[in-house]
Amino acid sequence: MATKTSLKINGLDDYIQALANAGEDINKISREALAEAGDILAAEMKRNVRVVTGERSRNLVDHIKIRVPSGEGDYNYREIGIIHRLEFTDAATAIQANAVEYGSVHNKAMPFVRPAIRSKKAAINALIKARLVAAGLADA
Amino acid sequence: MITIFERVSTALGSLSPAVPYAIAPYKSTGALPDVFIAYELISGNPEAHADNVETARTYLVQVSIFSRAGFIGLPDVDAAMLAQDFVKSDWRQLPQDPETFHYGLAKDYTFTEFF
Repeated sequence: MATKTSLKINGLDDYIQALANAGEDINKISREALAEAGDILAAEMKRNVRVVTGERSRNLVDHIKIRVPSGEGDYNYREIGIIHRLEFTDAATAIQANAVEYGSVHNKAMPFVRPAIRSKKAAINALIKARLVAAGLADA
Repeated sequence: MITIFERVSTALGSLSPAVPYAIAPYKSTGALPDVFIAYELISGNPEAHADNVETARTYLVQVSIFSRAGFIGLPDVDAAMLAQDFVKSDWRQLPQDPETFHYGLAKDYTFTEFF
């Protein structure tokens, strides 16, 4: 019984060279597109979030933020929403946001993250593709 | 055509043994059951259009299972929802309620309706 196999692909040299040449542009364009996408998602989350009243309640609108990681390497991303890092969100706000998004025994969920992702998914995909196409990095 | 709510209700109503369920929030005149289920529609987004007419829509439904005994031996909600053509999505554990002592598990399911 075979436990290994060999695959051979010819013609990769030109492709790898093109990727290497374009590497810097791809990261720059990706980060710019992600920044635009992040703004869209954050705005939609803020539009969706319910203001919960009460003495100990936080206004979650003020806690919806965008975290931009250091721009090293080729892995580009943004964190958007209630950022689970103490420098962004205190524990009480994180607990409240979790209860608002997912509900509890007593309360229905009043989600603001999941609907934002669902409603803006197509627009964000189109935006990122348009930016890559405009930069000559993808086919229309 | 049955609505998304009827579809969820049909799924949860098929659980055996039966588990109390309701659209969230679950309301009880007395003490809450040891195990119960609350469900709700999270979003319903159009997916496709043709000639300015919507042709497909995807619903995201959250089904939350609450149990005082924890997460062992929970009702098989997955099988019930899959039988109604839902697709499994994300899960999330909810904090234990400090008043009723229920643990919670929120499960998301999607269903795409074609017109």
